[in-house]
Amino acid sequence: MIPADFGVIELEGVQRRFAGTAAVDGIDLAMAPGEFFSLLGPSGCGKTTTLRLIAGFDRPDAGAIRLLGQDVTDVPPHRRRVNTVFQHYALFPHLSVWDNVAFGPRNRRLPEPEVRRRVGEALERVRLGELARRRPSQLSGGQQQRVALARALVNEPAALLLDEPLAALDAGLRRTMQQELKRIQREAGIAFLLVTHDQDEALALSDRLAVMQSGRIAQYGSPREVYDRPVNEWVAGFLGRANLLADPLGGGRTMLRPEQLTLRGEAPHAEQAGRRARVVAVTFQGATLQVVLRDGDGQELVARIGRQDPAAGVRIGEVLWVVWPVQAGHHWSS
Amino acid sequence: MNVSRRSPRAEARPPLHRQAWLPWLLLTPGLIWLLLWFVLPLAQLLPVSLSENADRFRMTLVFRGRIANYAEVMTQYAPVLARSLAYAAASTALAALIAYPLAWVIRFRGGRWKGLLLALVVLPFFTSSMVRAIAWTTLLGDDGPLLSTLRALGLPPGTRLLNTAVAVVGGLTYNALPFMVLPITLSLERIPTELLDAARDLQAGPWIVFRRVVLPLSAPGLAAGIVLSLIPAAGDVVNAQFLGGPNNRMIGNVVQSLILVQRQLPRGAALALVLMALMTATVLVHVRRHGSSDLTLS
Repeated sequence: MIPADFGVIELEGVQRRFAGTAAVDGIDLAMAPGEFFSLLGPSGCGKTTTLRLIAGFDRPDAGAIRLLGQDVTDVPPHRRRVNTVFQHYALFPHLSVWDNVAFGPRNRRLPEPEVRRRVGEALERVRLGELARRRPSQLSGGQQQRVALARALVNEPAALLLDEPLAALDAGLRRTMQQELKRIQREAGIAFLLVTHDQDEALALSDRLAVMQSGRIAQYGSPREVYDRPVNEWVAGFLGRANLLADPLGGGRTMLRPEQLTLRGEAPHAEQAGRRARVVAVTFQGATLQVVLRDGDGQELVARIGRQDPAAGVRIGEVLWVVWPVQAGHHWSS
Repeated sequence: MNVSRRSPRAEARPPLHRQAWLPWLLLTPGLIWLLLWFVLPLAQLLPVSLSENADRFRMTLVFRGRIANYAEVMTQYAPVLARSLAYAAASTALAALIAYPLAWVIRFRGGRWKGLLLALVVLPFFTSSMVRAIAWTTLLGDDGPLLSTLRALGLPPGTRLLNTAVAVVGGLTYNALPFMVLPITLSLERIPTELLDAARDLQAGPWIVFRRVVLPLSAPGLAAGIVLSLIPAAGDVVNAQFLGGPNNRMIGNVVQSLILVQRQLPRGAALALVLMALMTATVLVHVRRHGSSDLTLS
């Protein structure tokens, strides 16, 4: 399941326990060069601990961490070729933007002209060239975020580690910064490891992602795979709303995403399945409507329909057919 | 939700002028205190320092505008002034060197013992400075535990500690320690550990983390500690009196003797004001160099 023969970052059986409980409970992971990879999970699932282990701020109790094929399990953070963008940015308040970005290159004792060239480039890349002389406290949250990115990228790390980098920004800025992250990652060609609890963010940005639960990786795959074919109900529910239908003959279960359901007056035809259900709630969500229905067995169904959909005018109490293509959805046989 | 984030607080705030008297009300007790016990005595000291004793028993003073008092004390007691400043500087430097690592350990390795460790730093100061100085005379005495031990380890006999500069500076350093440890610990406490992680992440080894992040960010605490230990040390009386003997007198001892023993009030007042001017100048230079925020830890 895990491609083991390549990897900028490779984790093998990594474990970290705090006071007896495993925060990270045996993780295997391999990141390809230039890949945008996300660790997605609820708070407390061990994703930030995993990131800290990779950065070297913490040491695993068991397992191995490799960077570019070299074992770095016992290497201190300042000798690892990864850099981190911290959740609260962690900019040095006593240094200007320029000196913050120059911090890493100077510690590597690069000649000063080289430091100047690199810092200038990094600030251009995040479009902050004209704010170089400011102190971090004089910048907005979004600008501080960019400085944190530039400060990490300027070191040309093998991989960039991002710990909930957008969590502190408001919704509009978060969307802009998501696009910026993607652009910067493409331009720099550096592998990004993003830790986030925001499934939309992970789905939008990642080439691949790992869904974490209770210190373990529940699923590993492309955003489409994980969204369309979650390994279990928990993953299905964490990535978005999911309708879980028991097979009529017992045994298995089928998951249908709300957008796979359509609402109609007439019964399903040959290639379709469906149920009659009563509308319980209609929620306006801007571009879409979310309609909650209940069928004769008390099973709840959630559908998401466009505003141009013929069913967009449904009212609470109406009884309709909820219809989906027979081959739609994801089936668990157990 | 995000759009309105700024406005509710602004709306909830009442018009500014309604509260304008409040800061003054809060300042009043402090201002009265300073006026009664600092400004008035100081204002009284100034004419005294320009007066002359009117009779040979030095019982009455006559104001003569005698600026020569200042020239006289400054020449006569120049060595004592220099010694006071040197002792104050030496003890402050020593206290900083001892306190910084101590504060570091309390902040970064203290864990749940942090409060206890800080309490231990302050504990000796529950006794009076005189009791501490007298205790030191026993410790440093010629047959005291310290010299006996050192002699047993090969120190040549005849070496003394009591009545030397070492003893006075030692005592002053001891006094200065909590005034150094507390503000430094506080300023270290205010450095988020995330910043240290960030520095290490950016290829900084332990020394560079200290040199380029921890030290600059704790400089306000260090600066506050320096002022808080320099000023009391320069004006100290007790340590020089009990630990220094006749050859290590400091300005405080001279002022005390001039006023209480020799009854030369004008010269005592002049000397006290000279010391005050010197200390004020020192602090002002310090503030100029580091900004006044250093003293308030902001």
